[in-house]
Amino acid sequence: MLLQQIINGITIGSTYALVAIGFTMVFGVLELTNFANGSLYMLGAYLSLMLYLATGNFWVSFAGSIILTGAAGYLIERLALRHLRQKGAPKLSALITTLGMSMLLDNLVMICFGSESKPFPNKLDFGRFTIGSAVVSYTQVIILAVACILMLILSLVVYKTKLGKAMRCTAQNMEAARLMGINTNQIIAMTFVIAGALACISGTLVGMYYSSIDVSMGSMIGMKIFASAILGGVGVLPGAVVGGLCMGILETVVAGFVSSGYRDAIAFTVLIVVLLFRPSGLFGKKQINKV
Amino acid sequence: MKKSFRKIISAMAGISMIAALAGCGRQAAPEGSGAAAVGAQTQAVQNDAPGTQAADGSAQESGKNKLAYFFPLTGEQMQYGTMLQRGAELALELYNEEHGTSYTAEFHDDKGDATEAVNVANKIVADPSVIAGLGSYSSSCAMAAAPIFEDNEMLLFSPNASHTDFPAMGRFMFSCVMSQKYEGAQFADELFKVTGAKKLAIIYQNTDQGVLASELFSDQWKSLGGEVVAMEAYVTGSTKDFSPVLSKIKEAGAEVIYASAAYNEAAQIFLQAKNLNIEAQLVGPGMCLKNELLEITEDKADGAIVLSSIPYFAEDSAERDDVDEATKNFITRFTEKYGEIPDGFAASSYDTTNILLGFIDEVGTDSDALRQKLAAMREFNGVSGYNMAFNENKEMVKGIYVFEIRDNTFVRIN
Amino acid sequence: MALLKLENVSVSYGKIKALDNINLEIGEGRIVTLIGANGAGKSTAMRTVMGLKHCDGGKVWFDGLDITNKDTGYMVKQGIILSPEGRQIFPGFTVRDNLFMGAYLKTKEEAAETIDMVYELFPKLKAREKQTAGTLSGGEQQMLALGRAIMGRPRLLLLDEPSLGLAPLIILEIFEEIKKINEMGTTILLVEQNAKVALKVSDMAYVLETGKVVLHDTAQALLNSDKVQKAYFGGFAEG
Repeated sequence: MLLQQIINGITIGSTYALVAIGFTMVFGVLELTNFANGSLYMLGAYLSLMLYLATGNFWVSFAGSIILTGAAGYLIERLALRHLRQKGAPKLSALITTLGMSMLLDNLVMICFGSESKPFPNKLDFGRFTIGSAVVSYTQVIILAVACILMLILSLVVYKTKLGKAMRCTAQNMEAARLMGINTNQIIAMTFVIAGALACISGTLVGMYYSSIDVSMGSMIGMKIFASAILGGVGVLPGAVVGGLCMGILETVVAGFVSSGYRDAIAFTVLIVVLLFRPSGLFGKKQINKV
Repeated sequence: MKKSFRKIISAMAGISMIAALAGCGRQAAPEGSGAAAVGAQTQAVQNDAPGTQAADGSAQESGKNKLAYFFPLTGEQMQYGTMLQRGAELALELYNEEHGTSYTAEFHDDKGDATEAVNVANKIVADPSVIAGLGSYSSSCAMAAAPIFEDNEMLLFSPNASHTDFPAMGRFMFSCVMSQKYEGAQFADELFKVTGAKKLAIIYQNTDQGVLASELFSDQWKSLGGEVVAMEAYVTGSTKDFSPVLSKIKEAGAEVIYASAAYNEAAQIFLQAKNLNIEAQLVGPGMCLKNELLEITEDKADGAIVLSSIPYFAEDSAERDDVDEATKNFITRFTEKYGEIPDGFAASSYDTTNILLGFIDEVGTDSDALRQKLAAMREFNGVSGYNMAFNENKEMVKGIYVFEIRDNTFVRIN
Repeated sequence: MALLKLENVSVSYGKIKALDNINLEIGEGRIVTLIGANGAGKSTAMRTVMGLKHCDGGKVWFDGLDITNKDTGYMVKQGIILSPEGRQIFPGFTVRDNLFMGAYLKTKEEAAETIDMVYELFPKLKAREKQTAGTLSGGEQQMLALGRAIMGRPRLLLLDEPSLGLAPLIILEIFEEIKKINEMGTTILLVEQNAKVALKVSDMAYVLETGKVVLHDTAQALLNSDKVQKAYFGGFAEG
């Protein structure tokens, strides 16, 4: 049974990891906890479904949804957050704004599509196979594979490309980055677009995995994403991945061996423990600041 | 401000009453029992008091002609609240049409929140044109509102509160759905009969209701000679992944798995059980008797059993042989008005409204008289159940339906 | 011909006027210093030139081009680079990566050329090429900041408080490098609290007091002035 739990945990963890990457990137660049990330995850899944129902072609709809959700991410930054940043508003204002955006998105979707669960087509249903006493579905394998590939691509972009360098600069010191001639507004916008796209992909994959989506799916994972990012070391990309996977496995194992009721409590427990004993997380570096 | 507002409402109520009377020009039937009411309902209502002139006369005198409903019209439970509202609206419309009466309804939003329900209840009891209160979707809202209705001696007839403790909260509390107390035990009975299995596992919601229901089910199962190998609670509304729980249950060797869950969660349980190659018999409660569940599971839930005290409404119910005329009419009129078929909640709300209106016509708007009529109700056949009656504890009892999912639809097998 | 000209520039922070109608001119190839007490407006002037702060009145000219209130990226493209107060290097990057960030808007080839020049100027940086910048000493970080600024091949280099927090000997070293950079053709505008050291390398100087220019002369003249001595040289190390 442990093997089964771990396999299931890895699957869930991969979906957390994808969203956590976007979350941690935004945090790294802006020191902002983006509460709207969960809502983008949910929005992405709904857009995929609605476009699919309208066009009948799933993969085209998926692609369209990624673009639209990325655009939604961009709009959140451009319309709400940039203005606050330019006025030099305290970080708290930005945080509350993302909270507001999240509520707006959640309720908008609820008004348009209703509060009941919606069935979601599982285009990745290719059957199952067994490893020992554990049953693994091909859907799970594909989700893990997609997550890994995306993480690799993103790591390549962030660590090997000029754009990635500019992002990391902006994350370390926004003003200094500007002084290098980097268009930090553009970088920040790009970060949000990426976060939106990743959230959409994760949301759609999860929709396929469970064959259903509902408006509360974003708020459900919000705290888990936060905990994953903190666990891995906020602002650090591989940290988000490891954090997400750990969170998924921990949660599933606890639910299996202790009680299902404690499943969500795990996220909070991890958060508290990490913040108490190692706030920089598993991979976070303690910043050395010398004058 | 409040007083003059009340006066205006009362005046308007009075005027509309007179206008309705003048316009209709029809008199209420002299005998109450076996009232004509063709097409809207077939009622076999046993009552002690002989029919009285009631309806329009007494309504006019007391200035009351309104039924006040409260449901979750926004928020996560909105989908249920909407159906409950529609059932009531339709019942009122048809009843008024049928009898030439002019009862009105007012729908309040309790947002699925007990505190809000209390606010709404206060509003309702303060309104002199209200005959009775009807609500809500969740037992917790109904139970939060109950003391207020009881203190003000106004009837609270809930179309969906199934918590065991609800009827006992006062003389004026009634529910039109079967109490958890009996539902749980009767479900266990039927299931035991139908499956002949011994080893049971229950997955249940960690709400007051859920805990209670699962205990009652498991107690009854054990008393019939069965064995409960696992009882797993989960956090309702925020659990989608049941594989840890199911893996545990698989290991415990369950032959029957009863998923006491809402339709979307039960759908996940059914799908995920299949994905784990679990071969035990899957069972769901009345909450699962929805097409939405079938949409999610597609053909993967075939063979699962659903137990319900409320019948199933399908696209083709109007053509089926095992559905009676009154129900067919209900489905047809509902579909006409709202563009989709009704569900158990709408049906329950429809029956609740009709039962109440029928009694109001018989004995007037006095809460005490109405309460007595309700308590004495026997063998009522409505669109939401058969052999509906209130027992000595004012709890509703009715017949159980057993369905099996076949070819992606629910087929009655009892 | 003045490379940089501030014409009647006024800058405010809310209701407080940080710069009040000031006029500055920096000749091409010169080193010009702004000295003044804390809060006199020196840093504000730098930031305004760099597009980091919006000016409410007046104009800023760069080689005849109106650059008033343009954004920072534009300034960098024109060849104005700021090495800010407190160094502001990228602590998570290596020395080498920091330097290359300075050449963000330049091509790879240009960057490769320039970095050789920077290593010549600052051999210590070459030695610590792969070291994480956050672990460098104060003086080394200042060198890095300077090197990074040069990587952008500026025509005008703005230096904000390069001596801040550094030991006296290091300060001397840094200023020697600054002089060398100027000799290579870069115009320099310097803001310094350590007025003596700054004036020693400069050609011209402005003294700012509460947002206004109160004195403007050759550096030598100011060094010799009693008034300036009393007001600004007290308490600093002999350079």
